[in-house]
Amino acid sequence: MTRYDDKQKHFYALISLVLQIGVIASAVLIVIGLVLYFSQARSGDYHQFVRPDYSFPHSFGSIKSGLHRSGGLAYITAGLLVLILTPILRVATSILLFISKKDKPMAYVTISVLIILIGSFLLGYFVK
Amino acid sequence: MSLIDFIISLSLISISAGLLGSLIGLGGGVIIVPVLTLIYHVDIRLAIGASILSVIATSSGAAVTYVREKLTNLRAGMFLEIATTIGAITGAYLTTIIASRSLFVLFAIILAYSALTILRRRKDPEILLKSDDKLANYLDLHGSYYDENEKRTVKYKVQNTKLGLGLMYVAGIVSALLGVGSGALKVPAMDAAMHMPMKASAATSDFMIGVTAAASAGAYFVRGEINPLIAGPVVIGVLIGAIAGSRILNKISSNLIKFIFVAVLVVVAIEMLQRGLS
Repeated sequence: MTRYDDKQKHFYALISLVLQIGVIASAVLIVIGLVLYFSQARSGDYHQFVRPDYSFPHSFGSIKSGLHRSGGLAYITAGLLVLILTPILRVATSILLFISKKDKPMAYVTISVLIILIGSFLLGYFVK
Repeated sequence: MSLIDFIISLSLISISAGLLGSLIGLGGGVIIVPVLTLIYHVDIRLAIGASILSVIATSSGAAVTYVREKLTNLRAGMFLEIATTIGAITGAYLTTIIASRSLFVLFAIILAYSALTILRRRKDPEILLKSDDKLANYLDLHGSYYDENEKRTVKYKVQNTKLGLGLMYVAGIVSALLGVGSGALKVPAMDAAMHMPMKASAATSDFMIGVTAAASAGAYFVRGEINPLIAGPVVIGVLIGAIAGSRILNKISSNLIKFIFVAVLVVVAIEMLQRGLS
């Protein structure tokens, strides 16, 4: 971290900003989703909504169609996906920052982290 | 209880999880999983799915402040993330072959271990001014930050990088298995093994747990274990708590935080053990 002290502040501020944007976008989508969901008059005990067999969108197709129908659950899920993507976006941003500082070793380190992250997503998607 | 009461009460409880998690470098999962299973009687797998997201929320919410204040050691954190993400992939697939009951017992053991780790810490490990660790020197993983409490800049050198990597791999596995941030393993890996100052370790752990959790969150999402009506309110509450926690860390006594947290961990560990063995 002592390598580029003069530009360090800028570096840290940018990573912080990426996290801030992700967090705000996620929270806004979740709140919109909850408001939409309750505008459709829900009643009854909560247990039926949290049982393992209760169905909710958990594929990209169902989220997309849910967003078109202004479905509350799809908005909440989209917000949760934005939250999951925030750390990944942060890793991607740091790759660009390390490359721009010509810091090769750390660029390779962060590229490895991104590859492992993408690998884990693909594994999760195809191996169920 | 009606659904709206469930969502409002869950959000409020989640604030405390975000607050505690951000202060000590642990994910909110330590609170979220027991709250969902013991108070709301939610299935353990759905509880873990929501908890994985609470970890990302704690991490990203708290890191906004910690990174801006440079309490987080970005270089060390990103380097160690290689080990935690590989561990997280390993753990995510172990969950499909390990039964719920043994997860409870394992969770209880991890909580008890966390409590012991925090309790036993009477004195912070020595801060090094020199390091002969080749990897740490090559990648320049050393750091410095301004300590607002002591009104001075703390400079430190990192040691035992390979041991740190090994511990981080284990932390990644545990994290994915239980839906916790496993900061309980990450913080000691950094401050005890690698000689990083406590505050930097907690802030760097908070920064890292988001990536570890994100590595396994994709799998949980596709398997349909992230119910938006559970995870949504948890995330909102945890974000509020984590943002608040990251702003007050320097202003309250850390001994008080340690005391409350150890007490919470012990109580919950006993409850989880009972459930796993009954």
